[in-house]
Amino acid sequence: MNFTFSEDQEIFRDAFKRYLESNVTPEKIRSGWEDNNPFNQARWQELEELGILQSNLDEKYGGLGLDLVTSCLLVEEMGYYALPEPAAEQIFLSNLLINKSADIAKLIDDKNQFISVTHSLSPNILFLENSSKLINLGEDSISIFFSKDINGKKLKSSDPSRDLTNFIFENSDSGLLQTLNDQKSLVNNVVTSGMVMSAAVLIGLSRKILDLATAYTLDRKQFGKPIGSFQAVKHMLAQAAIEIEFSKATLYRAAYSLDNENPLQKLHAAQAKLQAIDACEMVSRNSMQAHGAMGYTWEMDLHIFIRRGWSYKQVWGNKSLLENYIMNQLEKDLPKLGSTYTFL
Amino acid sequence: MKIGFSDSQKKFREEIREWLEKNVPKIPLNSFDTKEGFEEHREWEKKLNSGNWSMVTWPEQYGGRGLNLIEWLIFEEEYYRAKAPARVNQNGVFLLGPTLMEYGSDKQKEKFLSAMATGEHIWSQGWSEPGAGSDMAAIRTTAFKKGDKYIINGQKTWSSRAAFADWTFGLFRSDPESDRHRGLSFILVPLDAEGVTVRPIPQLDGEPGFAEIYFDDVEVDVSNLLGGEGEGWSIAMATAGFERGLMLRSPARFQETASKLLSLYFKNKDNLSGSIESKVLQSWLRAEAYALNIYQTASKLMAGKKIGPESSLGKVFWSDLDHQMHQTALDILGVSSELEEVVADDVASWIKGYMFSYSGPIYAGTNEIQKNIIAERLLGMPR
Ligand SMILES: Cc1cc2nc3c(=O)[nH]c(=O)nc-3n(C[C@H](O)[C@H](O)[C@H](O)COP(=O)(O)OP(=O)(O)OC[C@H]3O[C@@H](n4cnc5c(N)ncnc54)[C@H](O)[C@@H]3O)c2cc1C
Repeated sequence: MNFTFSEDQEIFRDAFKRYLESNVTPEKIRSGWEDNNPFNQARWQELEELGILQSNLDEKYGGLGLDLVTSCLLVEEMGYYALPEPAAEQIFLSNLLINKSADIAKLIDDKNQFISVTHSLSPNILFLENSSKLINLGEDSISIFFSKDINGKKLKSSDPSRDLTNFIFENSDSGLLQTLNDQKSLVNNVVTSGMVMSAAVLIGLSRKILDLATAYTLDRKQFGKPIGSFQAVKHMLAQAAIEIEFSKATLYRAAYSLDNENPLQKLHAAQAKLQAIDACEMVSRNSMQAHGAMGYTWEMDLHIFIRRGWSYKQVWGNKSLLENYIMNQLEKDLPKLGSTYTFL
Repeated sequence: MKIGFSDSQKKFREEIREWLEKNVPKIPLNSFDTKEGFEEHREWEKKLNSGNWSMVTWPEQYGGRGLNLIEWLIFEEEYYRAKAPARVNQNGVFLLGPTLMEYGSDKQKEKFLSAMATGEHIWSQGWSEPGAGSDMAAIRTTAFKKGDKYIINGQKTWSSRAAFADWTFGLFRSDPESDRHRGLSFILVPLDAEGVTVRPIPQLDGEPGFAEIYFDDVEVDVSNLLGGEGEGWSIAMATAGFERGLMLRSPARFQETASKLLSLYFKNKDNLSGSIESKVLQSWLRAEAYALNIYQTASKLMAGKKIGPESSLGKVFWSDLDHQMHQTALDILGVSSELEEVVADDVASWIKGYMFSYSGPIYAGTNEIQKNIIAERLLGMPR
């Protein structure tokens, strides 16, 4: 049992963090919003140069071949800095599809172009115009489209970093490159990975939101002292820290289970996502509260991160869906619950 | 990262499972908060020791097996699975034991560890005083040195299991000029010493689970000082760290409660509302999250990292969880939940556990104090 990250994993993560720290600032995010172009092509290039875009792509396709546990660490940082480019779940999922299906690998040979991935759990197309191709995951089929031929309807998200397009795939073959059938297990695997990735985004966001709140409470003074010295404020943020702490190991275990094809991977992923949803909600509320009215403004950066959480809580498995899944699973597995089964 | 058990750990699990299946008493022992039950539990500690199971992480020379924290967690899982008796000497083996290992002299280890493992010495802890609860640095009980003795005067309170225990360890003011956390010493005191009076206090369930301890010119040999004179505070903080960290509440007990709750829920499901369902689900999720976190923490410790104020995060988490689980069970049981009777669905154990879950957020440092620690020492908020 070694539940820690390797030195290599931490070094890679830290290098990426340094990049994000100086290149994905709230100012830059806001300027993307103002230009109505949150997807920054130059930054996308840099992500490629850093090896992030290809990090989980198999080496035979020119990637680094890193596992999902490592992806998870990277995605957490993408969440922490609210990186607008949907590298998070999107690129890692399209890489997974390529790794796991030679057919898809042949169809997606667009080196490091953005490939948008949709599924009923994340149905709106992200950054259609910035993508070269689109992969739509059906129940047990996978269809690949040329993005430029898709004529959808633009949708406005509460998170201006999310450029969304609605498109009805059913009975439409405009831009259709190919449909692969009998893909149930691959679809399942990718959707499960999506759960884990979106959970990682939420944990990263939660950490950032709490950091912002803590810093604010040191700075802002009322009654002649920093508001962070008031116990009511301390306890709100302490509770937030507790929620974050107890989501992390569940998240990394879920990624590990996917990497190792654990038969319970979907259950583990659902646990991770649910924990992350609850953590992010509590952290967001308490942190907003600690800011007072200032937190409720467009000007303060806090909302950049909070609103991103609103979306990620819902895509790739939301509370209701996950709870139903877990409850059914538990009823089936009842004889096999309890502490001695944690790692089977 | 490699999550899973090695072959030798799996074999270890089989070994302890087999031993427990053979040895765990078929009829549950009486509560260790009664005289009779206390002695039954002492016998059980002796039995555990006869199989070298008292504390598997201790070195072999003291009755342990020299195993690591992961193996200790496995032991705990099997222990709760087998519904083995509660550990009457938990203050000894889980808290004082590791402290002795770190700060004790060879002579002290020799004298105390084996006797602790066999259950010959059952320990209570004496931190709290009437005027020093959350504010432990307000301790006033004194232990002044005179020749080769400490003379102890004052009063400790809320000392768990002190009603029947043999020894207590605690903090005493050894420097008459000192205040707050300076000038305190960590001293081991036999409860049968002349001048010691123990007054049991009935807890919520009516049994004398803790006690007041009065010291009236009690003489204790200086060899019972642990660490240096005046260094008690930092040693006590280390003990408290073990307590809040993994040792006091290993995850297995909460996971067992969570699965018991799930069974209870599924059995009665058709008559229950959605809010009960979601609490049941949350209980299971959080018990798992706690276990995964503790395995990760154990892994970090084994890789040489230290845990400090982080242990406060867990204390709040498990004590809230424990209350939520028992509360939910009672809500499922409805009108029969008040019955302290041996009836269906293990009602009596739920109500007892529910009562005890009220104390979780109080003992081992209240949850408010833990949140202060988290805010000030982990988040860096001002005092
Ligand atoms: C079942 C049980 C077993 C115990 N076993 C032992 C034992 O074996 N040995 C031992 O020494 N002690 C033991 N204790 C005592 C325990 O450690 C104390 O109860 C605890 O430290 C709190 O002290 P207090 O009871 O004096 O409460 P107080 O300190 O009076 O606190 C009362 C309330 O005020 C709050 N409060 C106090 N100070 C602050 C602050 N600075 N900020 C915010 N809130 C604050 C507390 O959180 C609490 O809610 C046990 C207690 C229980 C319930």
